[in-house]
Amino acid sequence: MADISINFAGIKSPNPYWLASAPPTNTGYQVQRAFEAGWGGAVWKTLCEPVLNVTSRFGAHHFNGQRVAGFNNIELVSDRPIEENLKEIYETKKRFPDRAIIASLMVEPQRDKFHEIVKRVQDVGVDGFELNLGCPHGMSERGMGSAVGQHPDLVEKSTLYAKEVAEVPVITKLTPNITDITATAKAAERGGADAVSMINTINSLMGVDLDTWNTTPNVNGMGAHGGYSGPAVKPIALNMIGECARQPEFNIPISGIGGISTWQDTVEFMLMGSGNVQVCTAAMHHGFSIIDDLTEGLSNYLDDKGVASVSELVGKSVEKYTDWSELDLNHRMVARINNDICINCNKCHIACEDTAHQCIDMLVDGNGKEYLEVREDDCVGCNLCAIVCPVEGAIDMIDLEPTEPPMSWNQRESALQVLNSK
Amino acid sequence: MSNNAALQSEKQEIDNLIKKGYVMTSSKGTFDGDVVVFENKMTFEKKTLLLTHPDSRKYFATLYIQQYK
Repeated sequence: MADISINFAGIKSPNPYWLASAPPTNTGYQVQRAFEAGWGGAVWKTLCEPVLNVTSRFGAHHFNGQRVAGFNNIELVSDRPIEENLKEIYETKKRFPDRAIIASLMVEPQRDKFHEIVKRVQDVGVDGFELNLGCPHGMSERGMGSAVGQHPDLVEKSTLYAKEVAEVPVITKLTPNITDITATAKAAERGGADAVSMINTINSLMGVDLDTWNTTPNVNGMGAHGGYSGPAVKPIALNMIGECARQPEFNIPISGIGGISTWQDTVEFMLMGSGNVQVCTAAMHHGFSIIDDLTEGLSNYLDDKGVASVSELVGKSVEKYTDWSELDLNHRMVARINNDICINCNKCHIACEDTAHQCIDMLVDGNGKEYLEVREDDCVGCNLCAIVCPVEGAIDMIDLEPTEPPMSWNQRESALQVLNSK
Repeated sequence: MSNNAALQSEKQEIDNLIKKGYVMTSSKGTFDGDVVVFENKMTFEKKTLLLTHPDSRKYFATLYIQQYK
C-alpha cells in the first residue's frame, strides 16, 4: 500500500489533506472532529484582532443542477479572542500530536505586529504558520489580506518579519487577485518563506436577485464583493501553481488550494507542483467525512500506478507546462466521430458550424440513414465537438502522424529573423 | 475554395518555386498574411508570394528552418 504521508516544508502529516483556514477550522471542536474523521492537518482560521462579522455571509453558484459549483463568502477572519483560540489549539495538538496544526495569522505589515503575534502563538506548539496575505474582502479595506498580498515588497517584508521570530516553518499564503502571482511568490521566497500556499479566494459577486435586485449575498439589502472558491476556481488555481512551479528561480514548496473536491483533483494539484493540498469548500458542502473518499481514492490510484509514495507525484507534470510560444505549431490533431456510438444529436455539427471551423458534414448513407463525418483536412483539432458531445466515446481526438518536424512560434521567429537579416 | 484547397494551392506554389531553384530571401508578416520573397539562385529573378492560409504560413517557415539547418 502506497505511503500517503507527507513532509511539507518540514511539517509532517499522515496524509496530504489539510483543512484550509476558513469556517471549518474556526474552533477546537471542529478541528478535532476533522481529525477524528481522518484529516491530516488543519490551518486554523486566521488569528487577528477579533473581528466583527455580518449576516448573511455565504453565497453559491449552482450551475445546471450542480450544487455549489462555486462558493462566495464575505465572512472575515476569527471573531474569537486569541486566547480562546490558543487554548483550543493547545488542546487539539495534545490530543492529535501526529496531525499538523498551522496557525493562520493576519496583521498589518509591521515588524512589531508580526513579532508579537508569532511569539504569542508559537508558544502553544503549532507546527507552522501561514501568513494570510490573501483574503480579498473586508480585511483588505483595512490594509491587510490581499491589500498586502498584491504588493511584492509588502509580501517580502511580512514574510521576513514573521521569519525573524518564528521557530517553525512559515508558509506565505498568496492572493490570486493579482496580474502575475509569480512576482509575489518570488517575493515570499526572498523574504525567507519556507513555503507558499495558493490560491486564496477570488474577488467575486455571486449574483443579483431578479425580484429584489439585491446583490447576493447581501446584508440588509446591501452587498459587497466576497471571495470565490469551490470547483469553479480549480483551473485558475492549477495554472497559478503551475506558473510558479515552473519558474527556475522559485524553489520552495507550494501548498495547493482552490476547488479541490476529489482525490483526482488532489493528484492534479500535486502533479502540477503542490506538496500537499488544502480543502475548504468541499468540506463545507459535504462535511468532514469526505476525507475517506479523498484518502482511499488517492491511495488506490498510487497503488494502481505503482507509485510508492504520494510525494513522488509532486511536480511531475511541471515540465509539460510551458509558454504558448514553445508549443509545436506543426502538431496536428483531428476529430473522428464513431458512428456506431453517435446518437446523431447534431450538437457537434451545430457547435462546429456556428462557432468553430465548419468541418463536420451531415451526410446520408446508401440506406437513407443520416450520419456525421469530419472533413479531416479542414479540421483544426480544436476539441469543441468532443467537448459538447453528450455521449462518452462518440468523438475521439486523434493525433495525426507528423508530416513536418516540430516548430514552435519561437523557433519560427528565430528562423525568420535569420532569413530577414541576410 | 475550401480551406484545405486554399492551403494545398499555396503549398504547391511554394514547392514549385523551390523545385525551380528559388530560395527564400525575406518574409514579412502583414495584416493580409505573410509576404515571402523568393530568388532564383541561377537567374536572380525574384518572385513574391502572399501566403494567407495559416498552415502555409507554418509550412514556409518549416521549410526555411530545414533549409538553413
